[in-house]
Order: sequence, then C-alpha cells, then structure tokens
Amino acid sequence: MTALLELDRVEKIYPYFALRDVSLTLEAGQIMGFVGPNGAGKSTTIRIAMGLVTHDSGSVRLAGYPMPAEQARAKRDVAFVSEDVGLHSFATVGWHIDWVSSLFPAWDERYAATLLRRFNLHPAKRIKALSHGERVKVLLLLALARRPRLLVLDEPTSGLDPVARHEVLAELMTVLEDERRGILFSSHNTQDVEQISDRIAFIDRGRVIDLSDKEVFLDRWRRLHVEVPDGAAVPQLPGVIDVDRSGRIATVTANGFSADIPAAFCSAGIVVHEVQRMTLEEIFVATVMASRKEQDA
Amino acid sequence: MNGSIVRQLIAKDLVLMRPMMIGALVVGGVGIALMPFGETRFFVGWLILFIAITLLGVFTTAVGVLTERKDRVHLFVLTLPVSPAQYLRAKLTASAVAFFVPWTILLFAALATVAATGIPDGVMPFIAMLLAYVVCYYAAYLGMSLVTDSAIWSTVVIIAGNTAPVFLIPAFLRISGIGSDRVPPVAGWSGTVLGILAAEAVFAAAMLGIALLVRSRQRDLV
Repeated sequence: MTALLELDRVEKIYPYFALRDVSLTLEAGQIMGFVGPNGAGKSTTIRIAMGLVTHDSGSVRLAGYPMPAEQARAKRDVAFVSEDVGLHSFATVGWHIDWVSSLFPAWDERYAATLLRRFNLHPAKRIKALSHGERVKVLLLLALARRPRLLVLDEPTSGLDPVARHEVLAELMTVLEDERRGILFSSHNTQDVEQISDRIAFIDRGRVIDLSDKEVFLDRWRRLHVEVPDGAAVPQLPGVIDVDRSGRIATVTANGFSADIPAAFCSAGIVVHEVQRMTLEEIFVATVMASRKEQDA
Repeated sequence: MNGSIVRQLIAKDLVLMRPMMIGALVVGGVGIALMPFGETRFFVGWLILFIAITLLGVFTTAVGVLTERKDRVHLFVLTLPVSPAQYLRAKLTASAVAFFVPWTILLFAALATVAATGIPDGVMPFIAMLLAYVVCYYAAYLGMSLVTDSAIWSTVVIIAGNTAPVFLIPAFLRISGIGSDRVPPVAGWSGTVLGILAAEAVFAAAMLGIALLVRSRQRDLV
C-alpha cells in the first residue's frame, strides 16, 4: 500500500533555524501525533509536506506524489487545517461551504450538514463574527466534508476551550473508522496527542528525536522511585537516562525498561519503592531533555 | 480538475470584487454623464472618472491580494488542489478582469461621450493618456502586492502613484494641445501621444512581468 505521507531525510535551512534529516512515514489507518516544543520545526515540516515551503534536500511524497512538483494532484486527496490558515473574513460560513463544495466532486453534503449541527455553526454568520474555536471548526468542516484520504492538522486544538477541543478530537476519531484514511496531527499538547494518536514522533530543534507506536512509548518508559543506602551509588545501566538524587531518595528515569533494571538495583542494595508508568507528557519532556543533553555534550 | 479549480478561483475572486467593479462603473458613469454639461462639469466629471478607476485598481488589489494575504486566506487556497503557479495565474486573471473590464467600458464610454456630444474631440488623447496612466499605477501596485506585503513598499507605490498626476496632468494637457483658452476641435493622435500610450503600456507590462518573475522564484509561500 502507498504511504499517505513519506518524508525522507528532509532538510530546510533558515538563517536561525534548520530542519535536519527529518524522515517520517504515515500509512493509511494511522493517526500520527507530531509533538514538539514551540519552534521545534513542526509547522515547517508540515508546510513542506503541504508544498507551502520548498525543502532544500531530501524527498517528500504526499498521497503518493512527489512534492512540491505534483502538489496540485497530491492535494486532491489531502486536507489541511491549521490555526495559521484563514478564511475570507467578510464572507459567511455558508459561502465558504458552497465554494469549497463546488471544488470537490466527492464533497459529502450530508456530512457537512451533520458537522454544521454538531459544531453549532450558523451558515449565515460571517467569518469575522466567529470566535477562534468556531473558525477552527469551520476549517475542520471544510476539510472533513471533502472526505480526504489524509488530514494534516497543525495545532488544531491550540486556543480551544475544553468543550471545543473535545468536540474536535471526537470528530477526528470518527475519520479513522475508514481505514483508508490517515491523520497527521501536530501539537505541543501531549494530552490531545495521547488521546487520539496511535503513532508518535517527537521533534526538537529541527530533528525528529524519537518515533514509535504510542503503546511502545508507554511500555518502554518507566520512572522508578528508589532508596539508595549511604555510601552506595546508583549503577549505570543501559536504558537509565536520568537519575535525580536527593539524599537517600532518587528518581530514576528509564527508556527501554525491563525487569532487569529493578533486579540490578536490588542486587546493588538499592530499595525499589515504586515503578511508575509515565504519561506521554513526561516521556516527551524526558526525551527532549535527554536529546538536548546529548547534543550539548 | 485543475483547470476547473483555476476557473473556480477566478470566479470566486470576481464574486468578491464584484461590488468594487459595479461601484467603479456607477461612479465612473456618473462622472462621464457630467462631462457634456459645460467646462466646469467636464473637469469635475473626468476627475470623478479618474478617481473611480484609480480606486478600483487600489481596492481590487487590496481585496484580492493584500487582504487575502493579511487574513492568510492564501494559505487556505494553496491547500486546495492548485500549484502556486496556478494560484498566481488565477489571481492575476481575476484581478485583470476585475480592473480591465470596467476600465475598458469607462474608457470607451468617455470617448464615445466626447464624440457624441459637443465636447471638443481634442480632449480624447488627454483622457486616453490619463486613463492609461491609471493602468500603470494599477500594474505597479498589483505587482508590488504580489511580491511583498511590505508596508513600506506599499506606501511608496501609493505616494508615487498619487503624486505623479500632479506632474502628468499639466504635461498631458500640453501634449494634447489643451490650453486655458482653447481645446482642439479634433483629436490629435500625434506621435508624442501614441509614444506616451505605448510607453505606458510597456511600463505596465514590465511591472507585472517583473512581479511574475520575482514571484516564480519564491520558494516559500509562508
């Protein structure tokens, strides 16, 4: 099966920022969460994928077509939603629906009507009279009712209230009922990503620093609360990426956790009080900090 | 599908610019209607016509290009199945239609009014040169807007565009042989007049050509 999105060693150099060696593949049926701090390169990567920015090297294929050369054909099957994207402020919601629907033969009118009701949008309302959340919902409606194979979302939940966020995320989940479709979802909100993604890429300082299935991430990472006897040292074990010690108490962060780690601690006389699963946010922060430490060393 | 989307983009822009086109035709038409009724009304009339067409060029560019970019609507359009080149083609075509259709109608209406009424035909070259100047102003403003959203460049073009008539109007009156006490009864399409019209056409084409060249070399649209 053709990947919906393939980035292979993509680079883009700006005077004060560089995207380096970014490789990603998104298959049909997947929701990929693309997570990074502000300024990490999420939007640049997505803009390159959508043909809005031209990469300096590497290759990009969108819906099977090389980008940016064949972007007009590629974008037939791809919809993009971002808080950066605007609509004609003096035109109405209904005008935009009529216009976009006229461009896409596969436009799903019934679904558009359902989304209008579900998102509580009024066709006669002008775009300039909408709140930020309502504008995002309009963009989402215009994207979803096209029934695209790939939905690219750049920080779609940023600035939304909890109810609007829930509505948007719930709607995204329904997209994947059709396994031929996929979603690339960028955010710095790990809660949203954890909620809907099945595959996650972390990006920081212009590099993809980790990429895996969500469950693999959650299984791989653990935080151990241990007690270290006086005079003893926490052994350097493979997979232990951080030890935060305060007197006899230490918090150990492990990537690639296995039962061997607590066993090794016990052998060294260290008492393991608790082994905790980590949230995606904790994993994300630990991954970024470990990557930065490695880069700065 | 792409050809159809380009046509749809042109149609969309024309719908948004329609009020300006109609407004320019109505206001410009009022100006033309005033022209046959005496010298003062003639000058007020062509001034209204001149301002209506100038504002049409500024407003269609502002709505079609500048506001679209300021509101980041161009990013939405560029996520539709169009290439940047097709988007640019659609934008230029829509802007050109929105400007040149009313411009052409008003130009011929003005010339026809002069020909059909007691206004001396000698004002025809003057009207033609001045309305051709508006094309230059429009092309410079549209070209600048397609290439950059710099407020400084926008201000420079607007100041230059609004100031130039102060010098051009007396020059065009002189070249047309129009003095304070005489207007030639026959339109004098002299070599100088035709040369000025050609120079204006070349200037306008060059402005748009340079803009297209610069724009086609831009790799990033954000």
